[in-house]
Amino acid sequence: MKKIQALHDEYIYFETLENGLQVAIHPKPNYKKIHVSLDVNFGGIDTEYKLNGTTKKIPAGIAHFLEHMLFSNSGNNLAEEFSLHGAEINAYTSKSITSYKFECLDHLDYLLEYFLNNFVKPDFSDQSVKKEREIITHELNMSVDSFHHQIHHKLKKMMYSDESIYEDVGGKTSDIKHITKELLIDVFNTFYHPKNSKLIITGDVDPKHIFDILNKNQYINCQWNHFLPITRISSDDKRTIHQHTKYIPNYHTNMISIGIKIPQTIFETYDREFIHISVGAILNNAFGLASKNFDILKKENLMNASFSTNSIIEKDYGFINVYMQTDKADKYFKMIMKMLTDISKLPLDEELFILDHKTIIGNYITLFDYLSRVHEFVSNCMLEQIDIEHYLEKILQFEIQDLEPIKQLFNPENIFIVRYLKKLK
Amino acid sequence: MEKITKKTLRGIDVHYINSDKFKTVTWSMVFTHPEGPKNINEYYFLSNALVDNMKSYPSNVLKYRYQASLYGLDAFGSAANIGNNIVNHFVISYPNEKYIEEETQLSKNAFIFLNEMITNPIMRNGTFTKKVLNENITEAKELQAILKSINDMFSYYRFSKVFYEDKPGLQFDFPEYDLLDGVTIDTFTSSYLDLFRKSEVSIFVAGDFEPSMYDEIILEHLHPRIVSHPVNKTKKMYPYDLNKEPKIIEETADVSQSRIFLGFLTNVEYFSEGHPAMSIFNNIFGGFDQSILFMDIREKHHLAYYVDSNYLSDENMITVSVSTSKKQEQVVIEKIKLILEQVKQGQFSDALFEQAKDNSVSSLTGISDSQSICLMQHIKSNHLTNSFYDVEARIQLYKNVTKEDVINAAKSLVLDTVYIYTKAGE
Repeated sequence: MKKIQALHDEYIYFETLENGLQVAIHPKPNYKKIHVSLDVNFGGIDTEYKLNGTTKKIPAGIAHFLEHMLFSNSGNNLAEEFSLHGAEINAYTSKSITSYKFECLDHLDYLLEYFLNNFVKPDFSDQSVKKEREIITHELNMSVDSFHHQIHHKLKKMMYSDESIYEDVGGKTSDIKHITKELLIDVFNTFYHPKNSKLIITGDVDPKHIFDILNKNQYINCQWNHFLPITRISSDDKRTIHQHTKYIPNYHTNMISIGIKIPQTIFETYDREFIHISVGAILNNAFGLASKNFDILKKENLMNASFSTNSIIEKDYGFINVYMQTDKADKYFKMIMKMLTDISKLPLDEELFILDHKTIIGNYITLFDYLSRVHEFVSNCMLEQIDIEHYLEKILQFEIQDLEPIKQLFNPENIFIVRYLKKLK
Repeated sequence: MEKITKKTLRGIDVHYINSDKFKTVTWSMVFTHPEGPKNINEYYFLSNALVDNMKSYPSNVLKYRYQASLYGLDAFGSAANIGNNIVNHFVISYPNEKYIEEETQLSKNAFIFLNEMITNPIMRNGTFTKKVLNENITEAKELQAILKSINDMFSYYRFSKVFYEDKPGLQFDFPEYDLLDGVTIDTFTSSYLDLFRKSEVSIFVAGDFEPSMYDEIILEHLHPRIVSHPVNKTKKMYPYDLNKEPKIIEETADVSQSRIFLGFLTNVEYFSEGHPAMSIFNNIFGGFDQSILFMDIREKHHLAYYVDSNYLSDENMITVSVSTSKKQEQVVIEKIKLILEQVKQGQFSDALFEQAKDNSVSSLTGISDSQSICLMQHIKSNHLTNSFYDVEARIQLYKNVTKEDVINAAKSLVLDTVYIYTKAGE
């Protein structure tokens, strides 16, 4: 068991168990709730991969479908069992992972055992597959009528030719028609291996006791098949269309979504931690609350609550999104495009870069007050193989010139634009 | 362990919520305005305008860089309804200096910043400028446009409007869009000055600190303009008529799935004896993933991806929201009504009753894991009951609820509004 110090009085314990499962335990004395999650490296992006030399293609949305199915594995009702013990269980599927998480006040030993045993063997009925298909169809239909969803989807489709990147994690209703019980069991057996999963526990727990009960657990001790490494197959054609404008009759607003694609070469040259930190630092320097651009946009009345900058950095692709909904579409568009392309041409704001170090320290300290957020932080660090013990130190060691290669992304070659503009009668 | 103390410093009630569990320090300065919804938009605008227009830091660059130098101090304002009063909160939070080497002045500087924010905005000849007012009005209108583009949020907003249209003076949005044009520089400035002339002021501080040190900070740096005036605080009285015929309203939009809301009124009041039973009833009805609505409408009949009920305890109200296909709208509505009737007849299992109770207790227990939620509960409780929020005592009340109490809570519900946000057509 490896013990690391994340802050003066915050320690996290790591261990890789015999079956390959990586475990992190973060004791939080005096906290009432305990958060437990199992993250499986299987997400919406994994639709084509190589396994043992064979290429496999599976329907989009299958990771998300499987997430639904595992709530009633072997005829059990996972949610009911947890509820009977005063706990709540939930799950989500992202592009990279499927994450199952429960929160409880007590009965941790029993719930942990029950939880892990749910992922030993898949056993689904055709009827339960049919039922989940109907529920997922409702879920997918809900997002269809949203222009937010449409503009984001269009932007991704312009940036990437790979359907697994631009399509939603849940797939399309036409995709999920092809998902069968047999396919679900097959992908479970491929991806749901302890070696391909991580367990994270945050709360007032004793790490030694947890490892003791884990070592007696069926999920840990059962005979697992040899885990075969999975290689995702992705394609990244050069995209030639960089702008799309759609006029929506009688709509009440304009939406502008800009994507800055992070080229493959960046993923081949730098690790994800570096890309994350650099992109975050640049966005904060260029568009954060204390940035000069934010002040200019505000003074020109071009800033409102809809403005957002996000970075999506997955296993082998990533992009930055700058979104705004505004009445002053033309003026905003000209200004934001200049600001974006200036990032690669002009030096960053050094004074702000240095001051941000204090904000980073402050945010890092207060992060530990939020069980959910700190749990997610540990989970992300494990996924991206970030060394938490030196995380803060490493960020603070960053110098402004280190950001140069990422700064250069902000050039027209990587910029994609989708505009939905109102067209009045 | 949480240790709570109350004292009066310079005529202002100061509440310390001391706990070594959290690494954040949060100060909330609370201005409670005299009863009534007068100047609702002005108070809403104040919560933004004071934060964004500080004379000492006249640009975002200057202000946020100063906040960065205070280790990313977060500062915000908000306006809300508690009972019949509108309340303005001005809040700052920052990391406890205990965790920062050679930092001893952070709390003092943060408190001075909070005072500056409230007492020293950019003004000309004693009034807010037209620019500041216009910016706030424009932002409010843009906010409405954003709301309108998110179907789930906009349909709920419309439901809320329909629900309250025959209950004047009982609920307001921040901002209240219909009243935006009534805000003038004079009314805006006058509302600001009322913070110091008519409002009751209290301070709440949460964190791990030495009370004597914070006493000193307050005594030395509380701005002399901030003076507390006692105000009358009362609960809202909601109409309640067991024989009321429900309003049924349908509005159309370009949506693929219909959003349906049912609003029920109860005579069980906030913080009253019946409050815990109503809360447990809500869980049984549609408040969690084992509830009857969820198990029947989603799990058994696959009619919706989500269906839930929500207990708005300070509005004596239960809402049910569900998204379904247009052709299933009536089936879903009838099912919801039927399920409520079944609960009123006691047709729910003991196991579900216990799960619902455990779920409520678990949510209450979890409150103590969040500094901001704890703080808000103490502020609300202090306003409505003149006492601190006692989580343990509340939990005991929930544990004592019987099945009979839940049935009685269900029986108190009256369907007030059915709102359907759907696509036009057959």
